[in-house]
Amino acid sequence: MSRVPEQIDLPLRVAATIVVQGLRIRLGRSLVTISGVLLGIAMLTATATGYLVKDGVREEDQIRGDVRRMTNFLTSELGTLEGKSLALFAGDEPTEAETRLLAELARQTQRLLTAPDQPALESKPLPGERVPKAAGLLEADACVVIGSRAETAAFLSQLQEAHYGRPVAMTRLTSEETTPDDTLYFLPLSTELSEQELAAQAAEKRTARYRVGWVLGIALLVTLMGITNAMLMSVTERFREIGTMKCLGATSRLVRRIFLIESLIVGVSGALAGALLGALFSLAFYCIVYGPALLVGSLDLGVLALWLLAAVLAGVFLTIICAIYPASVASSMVPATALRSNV
Amino acid sequence: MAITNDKLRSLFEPPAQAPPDHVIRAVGLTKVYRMGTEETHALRGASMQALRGEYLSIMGPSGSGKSTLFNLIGALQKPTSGKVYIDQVDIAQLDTEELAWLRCRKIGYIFQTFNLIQVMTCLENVMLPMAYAGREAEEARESAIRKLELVGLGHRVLHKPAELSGGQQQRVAIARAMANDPAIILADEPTANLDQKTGEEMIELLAYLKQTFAVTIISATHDLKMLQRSDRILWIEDGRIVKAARPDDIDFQSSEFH
Repeated sequence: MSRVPEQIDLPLRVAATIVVQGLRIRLGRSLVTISGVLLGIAMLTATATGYLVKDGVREEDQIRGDVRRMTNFLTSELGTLEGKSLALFAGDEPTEAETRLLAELARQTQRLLTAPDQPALESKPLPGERVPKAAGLLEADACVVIGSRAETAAFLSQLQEAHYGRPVAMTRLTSEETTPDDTLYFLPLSTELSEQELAAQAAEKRTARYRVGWVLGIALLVTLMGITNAMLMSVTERFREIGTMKCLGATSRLVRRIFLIESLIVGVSGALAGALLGALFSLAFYCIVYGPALLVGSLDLGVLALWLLAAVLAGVFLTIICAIYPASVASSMVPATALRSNV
Repeated sequence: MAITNDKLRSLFEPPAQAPPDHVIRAVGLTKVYRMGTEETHALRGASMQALRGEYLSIMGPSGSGKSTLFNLIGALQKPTSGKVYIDQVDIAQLDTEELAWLRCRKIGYIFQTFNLIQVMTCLENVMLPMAYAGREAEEARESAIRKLELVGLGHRVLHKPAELSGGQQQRVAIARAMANDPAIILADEPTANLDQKTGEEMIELLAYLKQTFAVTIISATHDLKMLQRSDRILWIEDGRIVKAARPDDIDFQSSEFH
């Protein structure tokens, strides 16, 4: 009895060559499959990018509103800020809005006086003069204090002792918190929202989150359907071909390997292009809606990159699963059955 | 006493001679298809042998189990019971890798519907089994061109199957079947989708391959011309081989063929 050797498995390199040849040969069909994946992922990333942009813009809008409000309070008290000098004290790390306010004040007055030894301001280099002694600050037209009363108690008592009579603008003080027997002339910059308003805001946020979840879920579903459909079609229409391949001596493993490499190429190229196209499309759209300045100011590129990466990974994963499953079903079929199948 | 016993035994043994060289041997093949609760017996104990270098035709009405037999002896399917030996090897003993090796190098398949890969050129179709055999691309390319020249398509190597006539497509399929110089070519009704004249050309081509390369050709067919050209004809009926004959002994004018 003569021996039958095993069909050697072709090395990965040869399998890859077969795949690349196959993709090149059926270029038209491959492009259709790739565009299926591409459109799916583009849909997902466009939706996600849209929400990211809108979220960022809403936050940016809020900050700009806060800065504008606080600046307006100051100007209505002091008149034009040009040429005025403002003393600056920070009892706490400034928030984004407060930092912007300081930048805005520095721009308008050209003169911000800060005392040394203010750890909260060390990390944020601000324009303006450094006044060596706290006493020098008393010369300023007004005092801008970052922090609540409690956070800045020491500084405030210092002012009190010096009988400081000019306005003390507090960024974290509301008019409700001032009392008539305050010896200092407080200028509260913060506004307290009523409980009703806060509840309404929270409810608004909650529904917005549900809405985002809902739309993103639908987008994910559409993507899922699109990719699954494209890949299932592209493999099942080749069942006969898989049967023929096996008749000609391809092992099941080679068939699986070929489809794995092929779906990897299709998945990576489709998902990458889709993520880029989707994000670019979305950004271009919102660029027109909000204008480039606001968009650039509010976009968190790190989060966007994370989103895109997640979308690409999801796309590649889906593509491979949707190709490998039918391909391995077909490759483990008896060749005669695969040949008979008519899809 | 012992000597007498030996003598006695020798009387019953057949005279020593070269055993017939069976390239394919099928013993008691049965195949049952199950569709839900219904069972279809496609083969009910078919046995046959094919000699090396023989042109064997299998004939039978449709539904007689012809295609099933063809799939079983081509290792494209497993029998429900019975054995298939290809070159003395029981193919039931082979694992999928060994079966793949067998399909790749021992057997060339030709189908009624050609089964060419439509998106590939003729050359790429013929090169495919060579790639599976791990042959180096340059060498495979040259060899594939030679095979296509052999079947008379040397001028069409870069055409896609869809650009060719049925006869030409079947020629490509024959070139592909010959790709790794197999010992056996299995042809399932190779002329059924072709017109009379093209069919005859195909028969001549197969006969020429048999002559030149000593391949065993087994074809399932109704084609009278093909039957006349073959060395031996098997009749299959209702899942069994019922008759075997040489074309010289058959009256092709009889009503059976018309």
